[in-house]
Amino acid sequence: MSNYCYIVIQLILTKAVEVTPVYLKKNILESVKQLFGEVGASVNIDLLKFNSQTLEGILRVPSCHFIKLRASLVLSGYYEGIQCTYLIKKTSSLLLALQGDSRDYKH
Amino acid sequence: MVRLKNRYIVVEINPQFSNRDNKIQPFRLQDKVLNQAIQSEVQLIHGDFGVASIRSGFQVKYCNDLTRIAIIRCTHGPHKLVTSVLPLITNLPYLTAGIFVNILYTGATLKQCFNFIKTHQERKYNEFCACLKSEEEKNELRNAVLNFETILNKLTN
Repeated sequence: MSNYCYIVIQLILTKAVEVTPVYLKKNILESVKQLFGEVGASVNIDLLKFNSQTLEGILRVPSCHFIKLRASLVLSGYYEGIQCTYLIKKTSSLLLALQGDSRDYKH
Repeated sequence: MVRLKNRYIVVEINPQFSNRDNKIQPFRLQDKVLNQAIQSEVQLIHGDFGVASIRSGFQVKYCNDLTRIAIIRCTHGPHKLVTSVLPLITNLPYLTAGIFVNILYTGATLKQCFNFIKTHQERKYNEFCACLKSEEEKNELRNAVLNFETILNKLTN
């Protein structure tokens, strides 16, 4: 399989604010740094795609670091001082598998 | 029965810059301060996860001002987190000058560490003795370097 893991996330905020990809990535990196320190934050985490209307995005991370990133996303509680939560919708080691799976299938 | 393994790390704390006359002054070394310095460095490098994993069983067992040697106890496993941050500690809160920490030895029991320190100190004593002339100075140095009373008290308790 691939060396990377792909995660589809959605940011849920208690108050509607404008979210830019740069600030989102900063927030994700901050939460990783809080939980796993400088060592955790030194790994490449990429935000491949982000929709600022639906607040959905795709993250790419090396597979060895996937569990750490997921744990940090779960424990992240604030986005720019506003309470927030990250909803992890799908995870896969293949980017194409995020395109459609049996869960999206409509009868 | 499951045994909880510990690791004892012997470190040497040296000032970064010695005085002009190359005479190293002894500085106050406190267990509590060293403990805090290590924990804050682990917080920086390994985050909340690191601090939480080292906290159980973490203790600075022994500190010697004159020889600047300290023994740190931590549980087996998270000791890797502790040893990875020790060389990165560059200052202690109450000191104006910087320090650097040398890891000398990692042992499983306090007795092993004690034996190591004993041979290490004897070697150091012989090195220093080469520079000294009078017998009084030698005796004074011997008392300072090879004073194991505090560590022996801890071993017997």
